[in-house]
Amino acid sequence: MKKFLFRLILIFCPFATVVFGQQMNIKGTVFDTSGSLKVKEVVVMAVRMKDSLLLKNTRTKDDGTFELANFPIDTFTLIIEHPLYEPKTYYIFGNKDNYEINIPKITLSEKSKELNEVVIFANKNPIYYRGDTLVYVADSFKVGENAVVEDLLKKLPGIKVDENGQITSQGKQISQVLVDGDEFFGADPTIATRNLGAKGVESVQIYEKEKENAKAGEDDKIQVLDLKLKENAKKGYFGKISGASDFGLMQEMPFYETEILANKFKGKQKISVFLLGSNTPKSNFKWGDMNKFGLDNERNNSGMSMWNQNNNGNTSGIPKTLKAGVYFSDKVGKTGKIGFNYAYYNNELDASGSSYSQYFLTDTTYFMKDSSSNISRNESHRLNFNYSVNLDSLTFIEIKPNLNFDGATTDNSSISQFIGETQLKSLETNIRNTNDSKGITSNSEALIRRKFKKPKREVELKYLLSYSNNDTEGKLYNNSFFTDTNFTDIQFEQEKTNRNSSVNHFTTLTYTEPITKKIKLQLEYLYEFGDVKQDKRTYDFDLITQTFSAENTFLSNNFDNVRQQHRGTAVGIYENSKHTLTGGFGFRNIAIENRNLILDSVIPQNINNFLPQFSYQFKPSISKRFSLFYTTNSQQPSINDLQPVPDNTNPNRIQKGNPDLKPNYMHNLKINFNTWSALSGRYIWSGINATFTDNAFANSTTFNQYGQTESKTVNVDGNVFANLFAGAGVALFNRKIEIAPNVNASYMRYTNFINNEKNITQNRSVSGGLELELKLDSLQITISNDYSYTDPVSSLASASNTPFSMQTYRYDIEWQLPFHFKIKTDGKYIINSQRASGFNRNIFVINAELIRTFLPTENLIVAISGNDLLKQNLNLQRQINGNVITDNFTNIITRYFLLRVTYKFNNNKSKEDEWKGWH
Amino acid sequence: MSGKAGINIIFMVVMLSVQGIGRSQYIHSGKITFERRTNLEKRYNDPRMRRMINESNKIRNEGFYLFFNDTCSLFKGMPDEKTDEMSWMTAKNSYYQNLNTNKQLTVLNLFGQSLFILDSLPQRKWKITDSKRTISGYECRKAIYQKNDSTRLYAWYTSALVPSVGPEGFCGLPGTILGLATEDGGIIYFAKKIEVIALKKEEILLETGKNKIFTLKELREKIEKEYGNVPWGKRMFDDLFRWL
Repeated sequence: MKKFLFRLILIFCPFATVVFGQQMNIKGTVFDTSGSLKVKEVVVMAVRMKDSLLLKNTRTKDDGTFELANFPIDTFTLIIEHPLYEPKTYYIFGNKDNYEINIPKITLSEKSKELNEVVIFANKNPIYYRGDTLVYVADSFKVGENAVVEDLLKKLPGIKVDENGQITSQGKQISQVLVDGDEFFGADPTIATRNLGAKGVESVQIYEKEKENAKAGEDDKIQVLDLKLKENAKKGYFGKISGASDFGLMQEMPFYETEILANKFKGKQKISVFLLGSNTPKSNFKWGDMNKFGLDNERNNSGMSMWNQNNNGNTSGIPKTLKAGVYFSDKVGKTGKIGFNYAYYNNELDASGSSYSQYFLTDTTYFMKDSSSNISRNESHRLNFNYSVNLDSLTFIEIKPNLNFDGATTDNSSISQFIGETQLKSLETNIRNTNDSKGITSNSEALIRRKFKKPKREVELKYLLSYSNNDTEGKLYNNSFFTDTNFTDIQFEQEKTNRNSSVNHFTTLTYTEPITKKIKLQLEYLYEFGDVKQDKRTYDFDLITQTFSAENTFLSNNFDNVRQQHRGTAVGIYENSKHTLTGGFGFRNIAIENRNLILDSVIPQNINNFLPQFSYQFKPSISKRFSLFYTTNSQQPSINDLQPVPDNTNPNRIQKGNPDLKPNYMHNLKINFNTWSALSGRYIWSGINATFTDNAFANSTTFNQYGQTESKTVNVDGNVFANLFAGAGVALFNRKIEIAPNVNASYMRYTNFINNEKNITQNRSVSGGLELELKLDSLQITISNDYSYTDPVSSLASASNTPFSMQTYRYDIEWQLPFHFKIKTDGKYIINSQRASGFNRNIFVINAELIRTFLPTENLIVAISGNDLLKQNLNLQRQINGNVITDNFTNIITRYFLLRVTYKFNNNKSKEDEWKGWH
Repeated sequence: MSGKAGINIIFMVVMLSVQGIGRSQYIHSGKITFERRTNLEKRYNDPRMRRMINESNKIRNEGFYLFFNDTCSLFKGMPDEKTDEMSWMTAKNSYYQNLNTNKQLTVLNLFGQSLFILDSLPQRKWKITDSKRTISGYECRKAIYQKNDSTRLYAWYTSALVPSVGPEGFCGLPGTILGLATEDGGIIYFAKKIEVIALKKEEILLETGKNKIFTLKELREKIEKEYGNVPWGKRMFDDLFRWL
């Protein structure tokens, strides 16, 4: 206390003269402990009393003098500080009579030991000031077990709460109560103070805030009480409910779309529930909602990506979708993360369509007209679990078990007409397939990663188990009617069972060793054991027992594919700030046994492959990069390609496996160049992808006199796929207009066999487009076009070499109108040319939506939307496969209207924002 | 008697030697090596960004140098040893300050593009606290800078280093800033090494080349005009101007 008084020198100097534009002016000279030596470079600073603001600072000159001038008159502390001496503090009460101060002799005293014991006000004191903010540490004040915030406030010194819940701090009324800086359930402070538990409060902070919409002359500062909650008390919820229907006004079966999404969070714990039901093409949540609510699996399975968030949904047929599920995630211990999710899917699709196919052979041409109806029902339960933890600072483990139960029924019927070169029908078939399947699949993963004291050294062990078991029971009805009366019509019914099971174990051990600062060596060993079984049985109708009990041995087989793979890879990696170079090779041995369990025959294969790889990346800056990747890999044929038994699911197109089939071998080349200038918004992306495949899986097809086929999978060499793409974007007029052109060219070469003759097909295609975007404050317009031209050339059948083209024009408009109205519309116009007659259709689809938001938070949204207003939507596709051109048409939902009501909510009763991209 | 005189003499000698050290302790020129620790989890709220961040990569350490003498200072990042996929999540800016002419040349790194800003030295309002800690052997006092309603920065400065400089162009305190941190600890600059050396002229130079040089106001206006209505653009540039 004595010490304090000694240092506290109050200065009320009366000898000031009147100066205009009064500013503080402090002068002084600093001496050392002896009082004779002047000390230079001593810090002198003026710190305002009320808020600790540094007003001015300087250092003493060589002669120990200082001058602090030209700062406003105020009450402040003058601190004189030197590392070797005890700091000296003067409290200066500046006013218009006291603004010029001279302290002729400031003698610094020796740094005493006691000073080191001076308590520095750290954040552990129960009450302290941080800048302008008065902070109370809540745990320092005892309250009862179920106390609410109001009870806590009553205990805080200086704070009073009256019977109406009105709060005053140091005599000043508190106008606003915030929770973690935000309003809590509207403006009434008692909702927070009387509902929140006192236990969850970490600190109570009181500060002044600028008043919004303050009237002139009014005190524009208000006192705010801000409750900072403990991490585990951070909880809340948000969600969205949406329903839409046309109430059956347009057609008998009303269209509907329902969506429920909700998330509840508490600290790190999150629970999300979701439900989607519809009988429109909408079969997915919006990309943004899937992100916001953390529906990771739904997002990954949606086919959408960052770059393509179009919710295309079902593009053919009449769908019915129901999906519902729950996600849970939490933190366990310090670094552990746990997650669980369950989803139920139920999809139905009724699709009917027609197609026209042209089969070009060297000597003749067949035509086929098909009309088909496919009804499918799928149901599945999906369970996922994940757990990851850092066992210590160097060891990380993760396990991700997964289990899916799937059930499906399908009922496909088709009527096919076979037409010869003379345009006369030679055969008509009537085929129906019904199937009922049930299965379990699991794709589970376990991983352990260990780092070492030496940086970049790392060992990783990863184990993958994929298991599936699927049983299908089906029925086939076939009726064939020949035009030539010399042939008797064929009619048969069969029952089929198909039991598939597969187990695959993959174990990968990877070791990374840094050799120098810039060079690393990565060694990897992979062991795979796989066993795939397929037991296919076909039963003919037994006239004696009147049941399907006569096994058709020609169409039945039990097949087992067992493989063991060892693969070792060594890769050297060189990295510096701009260049990354990797090169290495792998060697693998795969031993395959294809066992025919009925004939008890075994076809063994033992294949060795070299798998070289190379990559180079050049990154002159973060937004500019060039990369080149060359990789080689090998894929196994599927069990259906191997199983040596005819599959007569479609008796017009019999498919037979080939147990002698070898794994393929692919060379892949990828080159990319991207650059982006953030300030001007200009960008270029471009690249080349090319794949060269030997031992590729191809069809060898033989045609009978009607055009019915039998195909077998064989290995062919020299298949090529290559494409080149480039695009750019330029922004003009302060980014109000953006122009983005793009081009794409592709070349495809592949081999198949037709009636045992080699046929090489080469498809060349080019496409290009231009997009224009206009962005104004309330209006956004995007228009774009695409043109594509395809020229297919088949070596055996020159008649199929007909080029075709497609043009697409699109627009998209979003217009924000006054009175909370908004109009959204988009359209697509497609021009098809050079196709089969009847398939050269031009399609113009327009969608429009009128939206109005309600409530101050705009959380209630009512919209009327019309899809395909011109009722023109069609699903047309051309497929070219070797010597076959097929034009497909599938029915699709055309015009429909929906009245949609959406309500969004959260625990803060505030505007619930849509997810707006990632920044 | 003589004993007392002896003590006095010893006292005088101690005092003089202390004074000697005291004078030499003031540093006017040197090179400070800073480490920047960025906690990407605290930096990015977006769930999509968060997905890329895990326990092993959430902390990014980067090195910076601050060269300084009585008239000028240069703050710049150490060159990267290697590139990694997280490097775009943080940016390294450079600052050249001339205390005599009151000018600052700033080079902001915007996804690999360098933006040059020439303006006067930043004027910041600092609040001085009594809190002290030692960084690299120097006693530092904590000061607080309230950038806006939501952003508060802590700076620890030492008066033993005389020039009023610091990382990311932070200056205006009675000494050199050896520690700078955002309040949530998301980004922390920390002096790891302080070398008291005289600087060569070329060590304290920042080349502008033929690039366009903006004033801070010009650049802000350009961006406000062009990106003001794009939400991601606004965030990107809020981030760009984080330290200004």
